[in-house]
Amino acid sequence: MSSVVKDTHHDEHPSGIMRWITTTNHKDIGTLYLWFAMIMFFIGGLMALVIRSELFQPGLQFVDPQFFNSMTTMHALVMIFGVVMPAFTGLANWMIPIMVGGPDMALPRMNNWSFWIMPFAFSMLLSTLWMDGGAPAGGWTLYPPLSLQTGDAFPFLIFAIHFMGLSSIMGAINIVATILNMRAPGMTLMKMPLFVWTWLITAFLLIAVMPVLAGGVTMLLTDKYFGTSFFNAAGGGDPVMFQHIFWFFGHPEVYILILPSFGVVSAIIPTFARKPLFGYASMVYATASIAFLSFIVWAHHMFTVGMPLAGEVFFMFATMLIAVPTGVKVFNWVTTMWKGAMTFETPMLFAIGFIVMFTIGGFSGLMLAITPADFQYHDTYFVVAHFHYVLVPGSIFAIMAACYFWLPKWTGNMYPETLGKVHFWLSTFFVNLTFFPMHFVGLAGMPRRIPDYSLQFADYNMIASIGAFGFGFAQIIFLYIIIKTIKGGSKATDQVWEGAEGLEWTLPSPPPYHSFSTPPVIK
Amino acid sequence: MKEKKLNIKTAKKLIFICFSMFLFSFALIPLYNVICDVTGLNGNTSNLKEKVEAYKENVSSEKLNIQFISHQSNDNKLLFKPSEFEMIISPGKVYSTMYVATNKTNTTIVGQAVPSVSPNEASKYLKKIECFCFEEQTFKPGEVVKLPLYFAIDEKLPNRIKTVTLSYSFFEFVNVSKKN
Repeated sequence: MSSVVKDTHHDEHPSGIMRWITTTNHKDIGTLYLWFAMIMFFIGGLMALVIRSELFQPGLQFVDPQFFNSMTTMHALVMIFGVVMPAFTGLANWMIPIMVGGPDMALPRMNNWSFWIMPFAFSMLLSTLWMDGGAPAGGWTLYPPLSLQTGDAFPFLIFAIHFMGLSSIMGAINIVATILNMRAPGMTLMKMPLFVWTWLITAFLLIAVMPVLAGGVTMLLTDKYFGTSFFNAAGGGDPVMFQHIFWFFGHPEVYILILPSFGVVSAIIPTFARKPLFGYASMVYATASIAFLSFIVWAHHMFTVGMPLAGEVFFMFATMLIAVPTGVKVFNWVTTMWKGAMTFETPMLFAIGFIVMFTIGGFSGLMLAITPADFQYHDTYFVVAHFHYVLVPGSIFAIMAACYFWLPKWTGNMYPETLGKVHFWLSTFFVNLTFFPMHFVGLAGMPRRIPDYSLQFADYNMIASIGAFGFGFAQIIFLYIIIKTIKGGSKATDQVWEGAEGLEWTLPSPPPYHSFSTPPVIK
Repeated sequence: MKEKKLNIKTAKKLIFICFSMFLFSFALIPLYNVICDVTGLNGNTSNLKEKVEAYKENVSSEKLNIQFISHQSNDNKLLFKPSEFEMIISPGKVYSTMYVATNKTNTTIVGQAVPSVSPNEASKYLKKIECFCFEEQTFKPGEVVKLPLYFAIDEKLPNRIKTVTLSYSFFEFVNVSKKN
């Protein structure tokens, strides 16, 4: 059923740097996004290591507290907006047109633009590290009035966020248009791979909430420079209002960071269990309900601001309700593996690691959802442990799983399997070494975003710092594997994996520059 | 080319959603204030003068503890505190007290006090007949000013509330261009 057009004049493109600057090809742009995320991953990781070095021992050792706070703030902004979101957008660019049997993304020129905004946004953001008054240090949540005390960096921060938002919105519009309009005949919505489904829903989330963040930070900007009082109590505003606006964006945002990973895992588990995904339709509905619920739970980030009891109870139960569709997903993945003929290649290891460790993060999330308990956990390392469990062995592991899974398809070469497994086991060991002790120090009362701590937390912090350095160095293996695979290796077949199903595996490895110019036939 | 038109049509719809959500973020501000005013959440009290006549009868026999506190900015330019920290009152009766402000600098300070009531539930029942918080205040260098407050607590205040705390935060009006 391969209906690939090869060696036509369409394959011509400028070479060298101009190829990448002017490209409107979904595969090129996907590659750009992924490399951008990789670079940012190491920059953000370096910031994390500054944090962990300072926290290696109690007392102030290496950096001054203001710079420490800049590091926590910038680490979060870089990792969220510079790593996880672009990496998933890159995967979407690469895979979605192929998966739905379309020739390219729906709006290729906008696609080019949405990528090339990103380097500018991040140059602006990272340039604040060298500014008077330092980089933003009030936390990535930008709560006023603290964030309004940022120095010269402030407008750079705000406009960088505007640019990142613009980029993600354009990316999301493109993805929705591609999925709705570019599907091959016969590719009905309920036949789409789950990665496409999760991205469709994620894209709608992005379109709905990124403008709200843009609005919120615009209000911060006018409060600081144009004398408005949106969040200024002296002028009749209310700083708590910002928290509502921010988390109205922020909670759907955390699902933007995780839903595409659900799609990735739903592609990998059936491949290596050699069984079709259990409960496809329930997976789609579960994803949609998670997306819907994400809009009505935002205030669980603000249980301690002095909400009325009715509000706290509502947000507590609404939050706990999310465990139901998430549980459906985990159940379906486990059931897919049940009695499957499983093999444990690197992508499968990462996917199983995802399920186990994401679920740990999910459980600590349930603990945080309990309002009375949250008063103890709020702003402690328990929260840090929770969201790192869902983001590092959650989103990041899913991205790595996706890279190993599709790298042979992208490059035509197999990656070194043993090295991949070493990368997985080192990452898993060190990620737990880093973040598991944080649960304990958090429950014992260690506050987050503080460069020093009380002596009784010393041992666990030292363990966490060792883990962080181990995890950081393990990622050099990842970088090495990717470069090595791009440069060569044993040739991959078209199907690559024995149990792989889906349109991407019907194309040659690597796929031609333009694929599916004639729509494939969908069974 | 039919496909291209369709894509642009879809994109336009999605851009429209984006713009509406952007506007929605600004609409949240009045929406939030309306919700707080209606429900009395957030300790917002109305900044409107009440009529004295309403409080000549229906004095409750219950006693209520009312506490006064003040907040000021940490630059320590203005000493701002209540003249008495606590009063035992009967709901339904009008009382008076005052806050005292001392300008410790040799410049004029202009600003306004913003009230807040705790517990939130009580904010609906606090009636202010006269309050310095209704208007902006000017303090000349070194001046000591007495700021009067006439208030009553509505006798409909639920019985379970035994203590009401009234807090005033003084905010100086700062010229924006001077701030940076």
